[in-house]
Amino acid sequence: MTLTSAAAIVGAFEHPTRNATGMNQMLFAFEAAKGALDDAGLEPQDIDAVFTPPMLTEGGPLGPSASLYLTDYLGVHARYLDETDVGGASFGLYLNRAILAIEAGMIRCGLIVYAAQPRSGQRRIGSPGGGELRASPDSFEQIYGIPLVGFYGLLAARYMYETGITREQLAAVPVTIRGHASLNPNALYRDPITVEDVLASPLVASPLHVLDCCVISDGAAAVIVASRDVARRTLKPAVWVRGFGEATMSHDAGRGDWSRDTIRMISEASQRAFDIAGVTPHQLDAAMIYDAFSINVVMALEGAGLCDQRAIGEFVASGGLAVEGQLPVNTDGGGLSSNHPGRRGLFMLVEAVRQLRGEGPGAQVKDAQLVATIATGAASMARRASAVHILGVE
Amino acid sequence: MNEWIRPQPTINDETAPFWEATKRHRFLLQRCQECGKVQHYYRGFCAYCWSTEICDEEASGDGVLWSFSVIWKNRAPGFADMTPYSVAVVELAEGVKVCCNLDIDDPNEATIGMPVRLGFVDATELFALPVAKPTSAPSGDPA
Repeated sequence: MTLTSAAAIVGAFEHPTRNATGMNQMLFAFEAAKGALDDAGLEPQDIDAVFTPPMLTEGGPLGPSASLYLTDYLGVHARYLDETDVGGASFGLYLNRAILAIEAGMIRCGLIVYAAQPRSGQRRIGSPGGGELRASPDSFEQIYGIPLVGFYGLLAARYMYETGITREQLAAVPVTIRGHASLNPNALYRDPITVEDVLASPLVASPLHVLDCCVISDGAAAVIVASRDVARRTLKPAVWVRGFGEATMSHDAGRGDWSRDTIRMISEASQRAFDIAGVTPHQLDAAMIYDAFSINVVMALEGAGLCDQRAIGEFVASGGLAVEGQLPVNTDGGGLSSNHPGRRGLFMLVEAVRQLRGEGPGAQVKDAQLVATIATGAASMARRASAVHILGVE
Repeated sequence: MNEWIRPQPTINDETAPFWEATKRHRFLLQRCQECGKVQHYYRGFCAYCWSTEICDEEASGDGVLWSFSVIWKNRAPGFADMTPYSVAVVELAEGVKVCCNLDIDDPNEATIGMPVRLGFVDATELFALPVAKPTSAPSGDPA
């Protein structure tokens, strides 16, 4: 059994809106699903699996059993469901599960869909999560007032201490990605910014400033993952999942090292994906890297073996991540500037597919043949997962 | 004691001994009697070998600052009026890392690696909240 290119992404769609005030969440999801289905040239009856996360963290209303509610609403007859919740990396996990289900002969065509409206629901940086503190782990962590961005501030401070990467070098990440967003008519923020702008923006959780943080948009997207049989009759050339991997990290009973564990987690998921694909990082034409915060991007560069740790600061500061650079990253403007409702992973997959088809709405890499998606996501604090994919055209 | 407006821990049977000890200004870790590993946060079994033969071990309170962040934006009730305040990860002498607030007048004086000591802020009749305080002069005892 060979898992490389066992399944293809045959439809991909990002809803153009970043503000869906007053819309029914499930109807928003339908619009994304229909966009992907039409992109593939398939019928609703072709779908036999549905994947979507419970979205109470984005204000819902779809929460537990989201996959079953949505399956019912969409009129799909599903033989396989998943709503594993690892935050923004959930969609990468769904892609893995779809591939395995296709390979096992359980399904032929899965719908991975996401629709959330935290922006119109007034979620902002520093908004409280819902509910009272759980006995564990919140009462030992959140009780000190560590918002989501606070964890990444702690991580960034530690990573900068370990590696020597400077505050100015880290700021090059949002600057470069904003440059890509400026070319994307649907990106939430498009005005170019400079390193000085990043450092002059208000501090949120030191050392992170507002411009180190992702946007909070309303957003929806969907991809259709299919078997070879189904891929034969879809509208556009299939984008093959050449390699895939996933990994987790945790608080590890207080013995963990959030920084090294993050690198280890991304490395595990990446190694597996590259091994299955039979390619090396040097062969990539672009990478979509989870960019909830600027720090995520530089840590992923180290974890995925895309850049030596000691060279990362200089690499990003000299424009290495720009579309004309050595490793174009987040060509649509990413979560830092374009679209990030609460989870970014699915938009990263859509953009990787668009780059491989030459349909990028922002910056477009010339002749993209091999694109990686490197996602991380969290339940809370150090309870995190990573999913890595290598996508290519045959 | 002033009224505590910040969030309070949820205390259950499993974690009650930890919070009881905070009232006596003690920070409880746990050591497994089978594998010897020390753990935090407090739970009913060894997170490494799953043994239920675990014992309370009072932390010495000594540690170093593993990381810290000054929080400027937090809209949660009880925290909104505190900003800016500092959160920290402290690596205790026993080898485990714990989250807490950092009690420091000027956060610019905080440096990763500086020695700190755990103390407590009395909160309610049910608990006191751990807090870390630098122990050496900020201008830098290199030791």
